Amino acid sequence: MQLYILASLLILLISMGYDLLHDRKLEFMMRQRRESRAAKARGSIVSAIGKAILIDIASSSPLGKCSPGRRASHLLTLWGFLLLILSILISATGVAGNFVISSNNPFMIAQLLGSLCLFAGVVWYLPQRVNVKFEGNSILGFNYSDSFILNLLVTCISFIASYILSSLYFAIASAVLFYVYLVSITLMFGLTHWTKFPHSFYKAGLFIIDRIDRERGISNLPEVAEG
Amino acid sequence: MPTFVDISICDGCGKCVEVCPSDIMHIDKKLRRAYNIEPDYCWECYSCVKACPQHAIDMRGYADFCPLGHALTVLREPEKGRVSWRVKYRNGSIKNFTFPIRTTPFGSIKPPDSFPFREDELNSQLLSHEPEYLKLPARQEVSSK
Amino acid sequence: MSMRTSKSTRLVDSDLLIIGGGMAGCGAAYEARYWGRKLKIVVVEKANIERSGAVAMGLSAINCYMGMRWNENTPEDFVRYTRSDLMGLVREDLVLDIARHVDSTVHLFEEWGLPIIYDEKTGRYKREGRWQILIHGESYKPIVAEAAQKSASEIYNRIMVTHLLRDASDKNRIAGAAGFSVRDGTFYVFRAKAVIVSAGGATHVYRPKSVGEGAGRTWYAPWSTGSAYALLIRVGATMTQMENRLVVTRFKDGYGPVGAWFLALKAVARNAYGEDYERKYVEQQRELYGSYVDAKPFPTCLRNDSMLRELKAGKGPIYIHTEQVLDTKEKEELGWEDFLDMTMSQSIVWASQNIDPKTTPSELQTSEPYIMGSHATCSGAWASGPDDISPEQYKWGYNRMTTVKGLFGAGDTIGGSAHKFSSGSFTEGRLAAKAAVKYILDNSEYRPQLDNNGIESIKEEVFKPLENYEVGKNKIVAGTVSPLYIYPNQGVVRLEKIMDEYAGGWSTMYMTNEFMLNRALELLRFLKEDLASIAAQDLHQLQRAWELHHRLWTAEAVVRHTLFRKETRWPGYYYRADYPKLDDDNWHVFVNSKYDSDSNSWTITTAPVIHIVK
Repeated sequence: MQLYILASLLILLISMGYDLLHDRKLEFMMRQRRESRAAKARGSIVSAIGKAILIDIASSSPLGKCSPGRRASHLLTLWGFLLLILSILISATGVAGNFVISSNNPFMIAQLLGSLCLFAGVVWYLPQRVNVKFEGNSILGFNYSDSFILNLLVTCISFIASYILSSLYFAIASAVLFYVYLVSITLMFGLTHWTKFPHSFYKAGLFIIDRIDRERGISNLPEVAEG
Repeated sequence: MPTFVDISICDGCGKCVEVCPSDIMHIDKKLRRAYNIEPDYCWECYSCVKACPQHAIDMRGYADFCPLGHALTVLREPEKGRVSWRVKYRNGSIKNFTFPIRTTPFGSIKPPDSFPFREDELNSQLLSHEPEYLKLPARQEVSSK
Repeated sequence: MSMRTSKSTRLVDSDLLIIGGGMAGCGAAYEARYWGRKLKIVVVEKANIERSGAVAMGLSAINCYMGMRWNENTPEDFVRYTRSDLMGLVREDLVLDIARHVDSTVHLFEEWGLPIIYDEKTGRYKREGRWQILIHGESYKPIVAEAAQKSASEIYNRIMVTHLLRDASDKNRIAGAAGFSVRDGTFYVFRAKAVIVSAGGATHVYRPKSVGEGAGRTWYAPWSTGSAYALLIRVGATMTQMENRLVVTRFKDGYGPVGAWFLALKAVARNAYGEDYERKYVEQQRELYGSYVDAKPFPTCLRNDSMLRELKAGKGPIYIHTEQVLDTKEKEELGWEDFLDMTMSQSIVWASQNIDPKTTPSELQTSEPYIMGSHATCSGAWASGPDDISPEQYKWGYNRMTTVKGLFGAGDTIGGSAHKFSSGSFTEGRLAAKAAVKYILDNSEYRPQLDNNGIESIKEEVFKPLENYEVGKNKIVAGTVSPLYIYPNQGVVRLEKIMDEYAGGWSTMYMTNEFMLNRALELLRFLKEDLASIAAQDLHQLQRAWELHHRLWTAEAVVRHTLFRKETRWPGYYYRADYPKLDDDNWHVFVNSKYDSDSNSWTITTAPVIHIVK
């Protein structure tokens, strides 16, 4: 299991590196300089990073500007997924003991909880997809941009099914689905260049950079003349 | 100056698609984010720029006649009844302006049927709220020669 | 992009249908609800009523306001002004009708929250010019749209109306309209006892001056696609003054407005040598166009004419000297707000070319021609006027009703009624709505009869461009060139070229003659036939396809009217090189046309110009 995790992390690093280098995205990001307007920086870098993590990322508040439904479904998706990944990581350190999809293992329960949240979040998101809500596309339609959420669906559904089958004593079927679950996560890590999964990293980085810019008084937006 | 959408900022909320009078802000199938599909039908009305909650949309002057290096950004604050603009020249000069946009809260207009109905005026030449809202000085009638 | 996911038809019943949710349509919705409390009022808009129409980005001035409360003007004054600006030919009854009501519209706007600028010294609205007042108008359209949203029973956004529907039992009576959802392709059939068309005038009929991305920067909105004219023409409504196309002089390329600069800031325009030119040619102009050249103010078209003469003499570019009038911070803000409230593109021209108006003058240019009814121009439907002031020849029962029963118009739709601008168009919507409500109440027993076979064939026609593409695309590997179809934008380019080269576009400096106009008709006929072979890849392109249809019908009317009027009535808008003089003896008349769909023929006649104001 530890080998699996190491391999997956390596695949993630390589695929993100590929994504950054292949289109010269990294070069582009380095070149983007933003002008400063403030004579002196206000606030601190630490508080900027803290706000980004708590307000923008952890509570997904920017999505609230889209709609409350987008924010809520994203919170379920985000935290479900994090719970899932964290549980795998911790369970693989050997702390949890044997590697059986059973009802008593707390890390399996955590993964179940994570999968259920993830499933709820993704399903709630499906009718809110902008191409469905605003472009008249059918809710059953899936295109290239749906590859990430399809991947998420396979991940959580396979774990939930595996868990249910395990509790019904269908051990082989349960194990097969558990491997589907693991492979699905690895695929997610490997296919970052072709899916929307990397937004997790890019958006997180952007929120942090934006907050730091704001502390420094850097903005493209107008200065408002009060009164 | 047609619009462009910043790929890292756009969240795909669809407000620009909803508001564009020209029907040219649409969703990219690969990225599920907005972009301008027909810049030669973009009037640069700024409806989408103002509607974007993340300020992801900006304008680049029509390539036909606008050299690069300029920017005109906007911050519309309907709840404060004002709009602000920032003009950035190619040579680096900056100008900021703020103007009022409304003196009453959005949503506060009284529906026309909340006013008493003057059935006897149905056949006259007076429109709703007339003659009061013409605010004519005393002893003057609506012209009807 | 939206693909067609729905093949269904949706029937919407109403008492009053308002097509087009711009200034005029919003005025109509508000007034209709006031007088028709129990009526079902439906507004249908091809975009989103929040920011649709020509006032999408806002306005920096209201150009039609009498100021009767302060005895600033009378409605009769306004008629005289409009008449002289249009070289004698306006429907004085319609103009007078707007003028006597427009003040109440403006006061309503102020109550709703439109910030009107006051003159601190006088306590009155700050005048930009005699008829114009200054506003902080960035949210003009959302405010007006809110009034409509509080009035209509239902508002349908993103539905493009393509056809009007005639009553099955009476060919000269309206029964509704048909169109499609731009988002999912549902076919909509609207049934109504009365219809108000307020669907806007026309751009991209003539080739614009910028032809790349810059083609988007027409002075009037690119989404004004002649729908008002095409919808009416096809059901046989009589049209008037379609030859009276508008050319405007504005800041070059960005088409920024000049009103505040000339009128409020008192900037002047001079040639490249710094010389005045506007009155330089008045002798030649008087020789050709008569005493109209002595009107004060100098008519809009003649100001263009002077500028064109100066450019032909090689004395251009023409500059507006902004740098001579921005001596205070307030004036500088006014100048900038003039653009930022309504034509941000001009600010971008300045920013991109390093033009600071405080130090550098800006170029002026004449635009390509537009077809509209609400500006210094009055193309549109021949409409009945108000009962108390219209002569017999100008009225047939209901104010702003066209020659088709139950079909009303407002705003750019209506001809003969110039200088309405935003407030006047809203006012005209109110006038049409009150009359339409009366019409509905007077005809309370009437049930509109739709022709179901006709509707089925319209549905097929509406979606044909999608069919053309789906099937026809199998011929070629990829790309935009097919022998079987053309895309809507390819059709628009051809239309613009025909009109530009033959019907008085900017490339001939607005000159045309009988031979050129007849050639235009020949080429337009080919294009009309090619309409059956337009291809649309998705619903957005389907909308563009129908906009092309509407533009083409508008263009045909323009050419036919221009051919018929054998004189040059509006030099600076267009010139008949074969009849270079203004001819009041023979042509002090309206040119009216009517298209008959059964015989596919046009009948063009004249109507008297009756002066009711001295």
